[in-house]
Amino acid sequence: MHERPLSFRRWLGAGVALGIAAGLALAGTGQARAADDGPIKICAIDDHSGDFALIVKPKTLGYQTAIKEINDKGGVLGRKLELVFYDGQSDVKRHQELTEKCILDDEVNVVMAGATSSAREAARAVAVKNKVIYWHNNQGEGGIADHYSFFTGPIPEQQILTGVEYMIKKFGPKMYILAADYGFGQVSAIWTHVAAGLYGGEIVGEEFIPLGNADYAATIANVQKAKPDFGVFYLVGGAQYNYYPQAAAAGATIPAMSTVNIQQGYEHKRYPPPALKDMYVPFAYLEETPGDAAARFNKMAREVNPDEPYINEMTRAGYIAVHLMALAWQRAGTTETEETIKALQSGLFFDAPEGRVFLDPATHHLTIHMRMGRINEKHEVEIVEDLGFIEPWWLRTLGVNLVAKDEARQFLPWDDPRYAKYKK
Amino acid sequence: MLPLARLIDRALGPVNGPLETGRSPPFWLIFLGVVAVLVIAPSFLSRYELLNFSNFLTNIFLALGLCLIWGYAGILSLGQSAFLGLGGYAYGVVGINLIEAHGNTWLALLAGLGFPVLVAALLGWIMFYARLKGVYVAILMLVVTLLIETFLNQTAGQGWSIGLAHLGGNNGLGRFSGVIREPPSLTLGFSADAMMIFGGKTRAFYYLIVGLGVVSYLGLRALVNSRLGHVLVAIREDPDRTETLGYDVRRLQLGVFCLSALLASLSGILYVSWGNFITPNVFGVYYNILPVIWVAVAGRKSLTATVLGAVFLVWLSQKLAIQGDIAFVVLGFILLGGMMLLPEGVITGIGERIGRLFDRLGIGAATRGGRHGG
Amino acid sequence: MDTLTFIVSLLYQYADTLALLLLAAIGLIVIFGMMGVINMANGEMMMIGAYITSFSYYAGIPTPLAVIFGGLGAGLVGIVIELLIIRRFYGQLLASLVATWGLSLIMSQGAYLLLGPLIKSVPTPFGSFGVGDLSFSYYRIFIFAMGLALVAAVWALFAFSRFGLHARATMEDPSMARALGVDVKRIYSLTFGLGTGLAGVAGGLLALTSTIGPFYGQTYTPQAFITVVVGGGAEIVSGLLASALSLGLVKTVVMNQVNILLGHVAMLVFALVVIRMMPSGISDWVERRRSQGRRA
Repeated sequence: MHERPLSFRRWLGAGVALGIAAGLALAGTGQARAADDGPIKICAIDDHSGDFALIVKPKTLGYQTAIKEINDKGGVLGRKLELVFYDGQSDVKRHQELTEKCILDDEVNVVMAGATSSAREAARAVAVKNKVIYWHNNQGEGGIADHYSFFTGPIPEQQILTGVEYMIKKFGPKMYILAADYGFGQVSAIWTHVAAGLYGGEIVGEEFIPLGNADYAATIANVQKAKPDFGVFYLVGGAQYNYYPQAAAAGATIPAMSTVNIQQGYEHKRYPPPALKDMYVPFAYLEETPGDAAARFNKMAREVNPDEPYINEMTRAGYIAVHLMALAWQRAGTTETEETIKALQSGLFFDAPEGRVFLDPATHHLTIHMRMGRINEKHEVEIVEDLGFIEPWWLRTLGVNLVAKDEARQFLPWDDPRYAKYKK
Repeated sequence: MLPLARLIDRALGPVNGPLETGRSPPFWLIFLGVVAVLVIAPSFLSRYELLNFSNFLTNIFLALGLCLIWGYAGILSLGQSAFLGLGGYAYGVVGINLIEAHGNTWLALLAGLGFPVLVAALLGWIMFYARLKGVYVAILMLVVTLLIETFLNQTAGQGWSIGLAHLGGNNGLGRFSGVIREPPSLTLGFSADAMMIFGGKTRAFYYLIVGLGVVSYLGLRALVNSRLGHVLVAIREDPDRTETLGYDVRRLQLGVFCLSALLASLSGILYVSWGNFITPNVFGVYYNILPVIWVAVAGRKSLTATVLGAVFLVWLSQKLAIQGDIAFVVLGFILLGGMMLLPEGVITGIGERIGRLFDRLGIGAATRGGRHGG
Repeated sequence: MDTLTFIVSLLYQYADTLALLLLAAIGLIVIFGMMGVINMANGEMMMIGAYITSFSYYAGIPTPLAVIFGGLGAGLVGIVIELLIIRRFYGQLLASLVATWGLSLIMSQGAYLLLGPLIKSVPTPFGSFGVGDLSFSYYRIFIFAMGLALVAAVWALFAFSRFGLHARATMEDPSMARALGVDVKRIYSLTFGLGTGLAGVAGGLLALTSTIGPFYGQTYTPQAFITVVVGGGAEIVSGLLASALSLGLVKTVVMNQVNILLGHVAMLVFALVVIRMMPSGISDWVERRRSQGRRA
């Protein structure tokens, strides 16, 4: 196997060509460096494709509505707000990568990313590591106490405790829990146990449904056997929603409360009535929220995007987050991170679409005006109770005060010694 | 020049052979050029670009593993990412527990490499010793990985801890309960003062991957061009005939399956070292279809093509993510189109054409077998 | 809860599980048995059936017809797929698997982009009945009956029709069949269309009791695969029945007594045990026993 020796010139030529090509490729990648008097950049990573696109897409509208509103009034500190948006693709790795891109490449001033707990943690981990302010803008399992992290969505003490208390008063003490078998569902279930303990309820049954499961014959039978007064459902994902039509078909529908259904996925608009009759929703925001502020907000949002099928709780949450950041930057007089955090912790309030919200300095969560809605047989929303302004009190009772000390962790109901007796 | 050329030829002997595309001096020159570019790249890349590029490169080992078992041994597994996940989780769990006590991640690395191989051995024993048909192996692995995903998703509860490491379910390893204990980046060294932390942003991490990548690539080249490699191809083409020739087909299939699991687990460990984060998502359908797309489209019968294709397609998916909703559909079309139009692989196809061009231009070897064994 | 209610409840759950397995797997196993091809887009064929059923229903078409349209639509799509794509992969089983996986990705994501995340679901017919403290849906029993009916129809088709004869001959020995004048390519196309059509009908039937979306079929895919692997492709009908009955039993009992997750796990473990002993599925194992018996 004798090979004709390649002339030195050809080798050199090939090498040079390669080098030039590589150099050009690398040089082609540009970097955007933000000037200090350029626009203030807000990074938003929302799922516009994949499993969660349905519920998360409206969140981007919230950001856009707020940014337009603020820019029309002149911006913040004389600078315009700019949305740097990426599609998280309902994928955790994507959220990691894109948050890195936002921070290192686009050099944003704040990150608002992730809806599900996994995507949230993926993005939040990157933001915190890089000391960038992070916002989570939809309901969650709560309990995160971190210097850089802020939250606009309702949390268990605001939704679950108030909601279950109402249901017990209205229907009786016996409840059956169906929860998606992952972090959020499991924590929500524990909070439901706490609620039962605090308000004299009784858990007559509890089932954890694996994500992606669509078989409910056994579950429906179990619910019927237990004869609950009402159900508490934390069902997440298209496959899990199969519970509703199957229960209806078996004539086994019961009044039920849900924190995830309706206010994110607007099921009352998508399923033919009366499948969701007697669903009770403790909410911060539904498009049907009463009042002028809500009506004005809906109108503004639809001016930005007339095709949005539903203005959900995420739209409201995103809207509030941008406004609070604007207020903080204004108050701080700068976009520098530590100064901004000090401003965020100085006692900010804002007139949100559902009512005034107050950003608690100690816990970085909001005091929210909560209401209880009921879906009737025509799938309309009736406001059956005004639950009042609920503070994010739980972390405070654990001694959390982020102004004094950064906890940098997530507290869960089992970390609270007072609730140990309620855990089953 | 002649004796030098012959010397190089002999040195390259083990990694040159008919079963891998590219073996002429121009090819190796280009190879050296690419390695050189990779080595000097960090000087030209921004922090973000380096971080991002390192992330792309972690996928190489997963791709190489699948290429080995599918392209060379004819075993299609639709659950390769399961081993990536098992490796990442095993490494993470041991790492979280021992990082403070030991100050390094040697044991974690061992666990991350060893655990998936054990699982692969068990699964492989069930499948290959039952002489399971090819399609069955493929979809069984898919079912197994989906089940692991479902199982891990529900490990958020308080009790799901292994020592200090809280599995955390969908929130990510080490993040859900109590103090956040992230899985540590690879922290390796031979004495307490000389510890090196391979964090995602660091050049050390980048060079580690490049080094491991080059070693794996050359090592696999040597493997497939060796006698063992030829037997694997024989098994791919006709397992019964190979067995009549006296080879223990089942043991060889099991062995190469475990090797691919080892490579996949390396990708998993590097991913965790890069981002200090892992969720059960990596066991899902999407993460398992990706390596299949890379390998099928690039050219499954060529290690070189696979590496190039994997990096390119990962870059492409990220670019598409940044553009918008269409990423998944595009990937689907690329897979289908690739399988239909260029079944031997896009990069292999291009490589062939360049090879023929070189032939016509009289560059390089007089003997060039671009079509050996497909 | 009294014994009668318990037995009725358990039987009902068993029938429910069987319905799911039979409907999800029948299209897949027909194609697999005939051509050895695993159609990874089986779930998407079910989705097409469900979508057509829903659209037809809301266009005013009576429900049974809507379901049939779903089946026909999926069947037609299947024939097109066979002509354009599967043809190129005859004999390359792994390649056809990967190609259909790509197709599955395109169809589900494409449906999502074009038609949105959810389609209006169709109200479940027939109402419910009570036994003791529990109530059950008539329709779920109906789809169990339909699952059996489809299996019976497939059996009859293969046993009694001319097409069935040609198809069985092609399954047995394609080159021989060709030599005897059977248009093997046409048989493959028609069988593939039959398989996807069956999946479409299954999708349509299940659509009347489910939420419908682009990833509709993916819920059923893993279970369909396990059923096919355990059943084996040697004898389509008996393999499917044996597989579904055994897997369904394991799943129902464990789900009923323990929980849903372990029901899935138990089903998989059982499947692994079966294929360790009968690597080509139950039907193949039975076949071999029978032919050994004959020789002896």
